[in-house]
This record gives sequence, structure tokens and C-alpha cells, in this order.
Amino acid sequence: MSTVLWIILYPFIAFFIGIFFMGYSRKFNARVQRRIGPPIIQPLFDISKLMSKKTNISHGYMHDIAMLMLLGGTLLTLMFIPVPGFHYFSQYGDMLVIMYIILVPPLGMALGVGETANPNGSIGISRALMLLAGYDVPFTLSFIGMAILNHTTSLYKLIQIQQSGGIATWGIVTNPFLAAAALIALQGMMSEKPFEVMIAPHEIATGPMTEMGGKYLGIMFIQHAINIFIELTIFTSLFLGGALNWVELIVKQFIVFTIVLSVNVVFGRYRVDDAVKFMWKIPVPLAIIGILFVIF
Amino acid sequence: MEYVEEKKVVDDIKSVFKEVDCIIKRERRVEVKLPKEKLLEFALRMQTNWDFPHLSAISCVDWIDDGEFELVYHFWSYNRKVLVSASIRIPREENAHFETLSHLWQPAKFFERDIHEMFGITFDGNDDMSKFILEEWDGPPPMRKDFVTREYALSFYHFREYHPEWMKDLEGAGEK
Amino acid sequence: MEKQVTARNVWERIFTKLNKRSLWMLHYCTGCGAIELPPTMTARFDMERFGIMPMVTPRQADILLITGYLSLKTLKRVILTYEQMQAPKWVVGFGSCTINGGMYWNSYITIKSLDQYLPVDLYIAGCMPRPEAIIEAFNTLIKRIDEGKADAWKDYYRNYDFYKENQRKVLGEFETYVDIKADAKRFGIV
Repeated sequence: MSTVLWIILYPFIAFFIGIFFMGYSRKFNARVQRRIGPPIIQPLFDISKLMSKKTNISHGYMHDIAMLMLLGGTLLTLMFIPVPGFHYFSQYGDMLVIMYIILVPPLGMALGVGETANPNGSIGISRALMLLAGYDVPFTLSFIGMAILNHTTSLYKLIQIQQSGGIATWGIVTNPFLAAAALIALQGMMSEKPFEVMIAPHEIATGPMTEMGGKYLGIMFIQHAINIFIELTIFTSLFLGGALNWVELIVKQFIVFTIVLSVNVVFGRYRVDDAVKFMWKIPVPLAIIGILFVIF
Repeated sequence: MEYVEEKKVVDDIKSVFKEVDCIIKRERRVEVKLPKEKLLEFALRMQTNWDFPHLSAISCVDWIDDGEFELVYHFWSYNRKVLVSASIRIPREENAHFETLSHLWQPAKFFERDIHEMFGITFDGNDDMSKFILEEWDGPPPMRKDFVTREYALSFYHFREYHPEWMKDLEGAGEK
Repeated sequence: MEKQVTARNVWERIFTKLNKRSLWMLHYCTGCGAIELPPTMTARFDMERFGIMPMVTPRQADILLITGYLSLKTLKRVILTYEQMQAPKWVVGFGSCTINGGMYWNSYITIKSLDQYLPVDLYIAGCMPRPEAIIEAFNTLIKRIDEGKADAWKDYYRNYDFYKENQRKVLGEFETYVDIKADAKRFGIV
């Protein structure tokens, strides 16, 4: 019974924590630029305004279905991430499942954007998918490396190993190469500068979100909030020891997010081919060295 | 002042075109008045013989009392650093027209389009006479001197009704 | 006439209180008044603390700022942009050129009075208005939305013939690819 209750409550908890992080990122950005910035619950106002628009511009039923694929893929990935109190699906082999299910949302967005027949959208989504090819390689390598190192493919088991062994068994201490590669890949996964070319507002009019307004954009914002939660939890579970109570989890996510944001506010944007070249030149050799470390 | 380069340009022009007026206005400015049949040959010689590769602009003046339009062609030379303004006169009639320079300089097409929509002069040989600044405009060519812009604006557009206290005596005198 | 407190009214009031804190403005700089927008957005007169962010496409924006004079060429594009925005939307006229022609009142190609062609909620006087005036105007707009008085966008759907006739008089016949009357029926706005 409590499983069903958790399955219903879990997306809402993840959504609210994601909203808090989104608001925090806008406030951080504003404070670095010596402004005051919006209040921390600003994304909640944004989503409420987007969802209560009175007219609707749809481009066919394929466009609507693609938006549901976007949100559904993210919710499905969320179910496999273990958090304190909910790890029913994270028993056996879930690291491999996460590795490929996390690619479903961008493909859903590509399907929807292709339906709108707007050239800005097509350029934006082709750049987003090219970036995906860039950051996915070091991310997958570090995932596999940590799986081999700890002889397990269950994320929950990984958390238990790291929690019971103390700081000496944390991923960042046992294999810093893989941690460095994953941190750089995380910058690309969360679409923060310098790998933000997908949403370049003044070049291609926000890329894939050009023709989306109202409820479609509201769904994308919700997906973005849950996505932040998923990625930060994956990183802390792999390398920072995971957490067995909510306070520790949120504190660790906060630290990782602050590091990501600090890089975001000082950089410009890389071009997409420069970004892919960078991703294949620096994090991939680091990850390969890490894996060789593990094997020998 | 010593106008060394400008005098050389004037000599070059006068060696071919014997009876045109050339004035040296000030440093780096030479003005030439040509009859309108000689313009194409003049432009060709400017480009090939006398090292003036840059057509800066084509401008137009409306002499309503003389009944003529005046077209002025400005040429600039990078090496000699002199701007030559060659002007011709064409009669001011209903379908005033002239030849185009776009086979020598490609950007001349834009200047001629501009003059066409502002003054109403067609250029033979330029196949693209569409509007680009005054799109959605149906009225007469607006830069001609017989087009009074204030009357047109007052009659065509809808103004907001506004009669405050301090305008009462002005309105009594006939202003709007 | 007192409005009855029904369930629908309560929902609308709750949503109005949430929505008024996040208005997105379209970053389309129509005339010379747009040079006062960057100081309003940057550090000295921060506009983002009210939730107002510049957005680049009309599909995502709520406020259309007409900054300055409108020539006929720009008017056609502004009307196309306005009809692509999603309701509810607000138009703010900026500067004295939208009020009565301003500095260009005797020009043959600028329009003199904006509310013949688009329904306008608020005018800001000045040439150009300073950033403090812009922020006060946005605060007034937020207060009006809160009281429920800012629904000039419904006027466009109800009196579409009046606006269309005025547009046709100055611009001629042109097509906007948006069927206003069908949209009004479909979404129950009239």
C-alpha cells in the first residue's frame, strides 16, 4: 500500500525540490550580476501563468503526443532513482536502465519540434541532439566505471556501500578521474553554460522552444525541474556517497548545483562543434584513465 | 592650399571630355557637370582608367522651377583619395527615366530602387524596381516638391481628439 | 453589480494572484524608444525582481511593448505578431508617438493613434520615458490585472470588425493566417 502512495507522491516531491533549485539558479545569476533578482518561488508563478493561458496553438496531434513523451520519459526515469524511503525499482540492473531511459525525453522533444516546421526549432533541436552525442560518452563511461569498481549494477546497493564504508569509499576518493569526467559531463547534461547552445535566445529564438507557448511550455518547465532533481541525485549517489535521509541529500545536491552554477555565470557559450570536440578531448580520456585504473 | 591630387583628377577628366565644367570645391571634393548622354562613358572610364572603383551613392535633387531632376553620382578612389560628384539633368515629366549603371556596379541597383520609390524615376535595364523602404505605401512619390506631407498626413490619418483648456485660443485661430 | 462568489471566481482570483507576478515581455524593439529597455533590465533598475523577463518569440510572451513611432511597414508586422500571441495579452504604448503622433506627427507614413489598430491597456508618456517611469507603469499594470480591469484583449475579439476596417484603410488588404472569429468561438471568449 505504501508503495502506491510513494509512487504518487514521489513526482510531486521531486517537482518541488526542482522548483526550489530553478529559483535558486535565477537568484544566484542575479546576485552575481549585482541585481536583486526574482524571489525563489518564481518558477511556480511562471508555471501557473503558462498553464492558465486561454488560447492554444497546436500543430497537430503528433506535437501533443510528443510533449507527453517528454514528460512521461522523465517520470519513468524518476522511478528508477533511489531516494531515502523509496527504492523499490532500484534492485538489480537499474544503472543500465537509467543509462538508456534518460535519452527518451530529448528524443520526444525532437519529435515535437519537428512537427512545428519552424527553421529556428529545427536548428535548435539538431544542436541539442549533437550536444547529446557529446556529453553522453563521458557520462556513460563513468557510469560503467563505477559499476565495475563496486561490483554492482544497482544504484541503491552503491549508496549502501558508500554510506557504510565512510568517506574512504566515496566515489570521489576512490576514483577521482571518473568523478572529474562526470562533473564536466554534468555541465552539459543540465544545459548550463558553456554548453548551453541549445537555448541560445538571441541567435535562434530559444531553439526548440520557439513554437511552444502556453501549456506546452508549462510541461517543458515541469520536465526541466524534475530533470534537475534526477541529474543531481545521480551524481551524488555515484560519487558523493548518496544519502539515507532527506536533509543530507538536499545539502549534497545543493553543493553540486552551486559548483555547476558558478561555472555557468562566468562563461559564454561554446559553438556546438567546439563543445563536442571539447567533450571528446578532455572528459573522455579522463574517464578512460579512470576505467583503466579500475581494471588493473 | 595645394590641391595636387585634385588637379590631376581634373586634368584627367578634361583630357577626354573637353567642355565640361569641373570645380575643385575643397580638398578631396571635385564636382563635374555632364550632359546626360556622356554619363555611361564617364562612369566606365572612371572605373577602368582613372582608378575610382567605389560608387558611394546616387542621389537626386528635384528642381521644380526648372522642370528638371538632377541625378548626382559620387565616385571615390581609395588610392587617390578624391570624391568626384558627377551630376546630370533629366527632364521632369510624368514617366521620367534614365539608364541604369548596374552592369558596372551591382550595388547601383539598390540606389536606383530607392530613387524610384522616392521620386518616381524609372531606370531602364534594372529589372527589379520593387519597393523596400516604403512597403504598403500607395500614394505619390513622397520626395517630390509638389507633395505636401503635412496635408497628406492630416487628411489620411486619424488623429486623437484632444481639446484641453490651453489650446482653445489656438484652435480659434485655425491650428489643429 | 456584485459578482457572486462562485467556485469559478475563487479559482480565477487565486490564479490572478499567481499570474500577475510573472509577465513576460516581447523583446521586439519597434522604434527609438527601445533604447530605454536595456537600462531597465540591468543592474541599476532591475526589472526581473517583479518577474518581468524579456522573451524572444511571440508565442511565449504576454506583454507587447510598442516603443515609439510605428511606420506602416512596422505596423503590418506588429499586427502579425500580436495575433500570434496567446491570450491573455496586454499592449503597452510607450512614448508620445503612440498617443498622438509625437515628434513625427506631420509625417506621411507614421500612424498617429495606436488604439485604432490594436487594443491598448496603458500608455506611458514621455519622449523617451525614463526607467523609473517604465517600472511604475509595469506596477500599475500589475495592479490593474489584480483588480481584473485589464482585459482589453477581449475587446479585439469582440470588435474585430472595427479594428480590421481601420487596418484595411491604411494598409490595404493583407492576410494574417489567424482566424480570429473562429478562435473566439472555440475558446469561448466573446
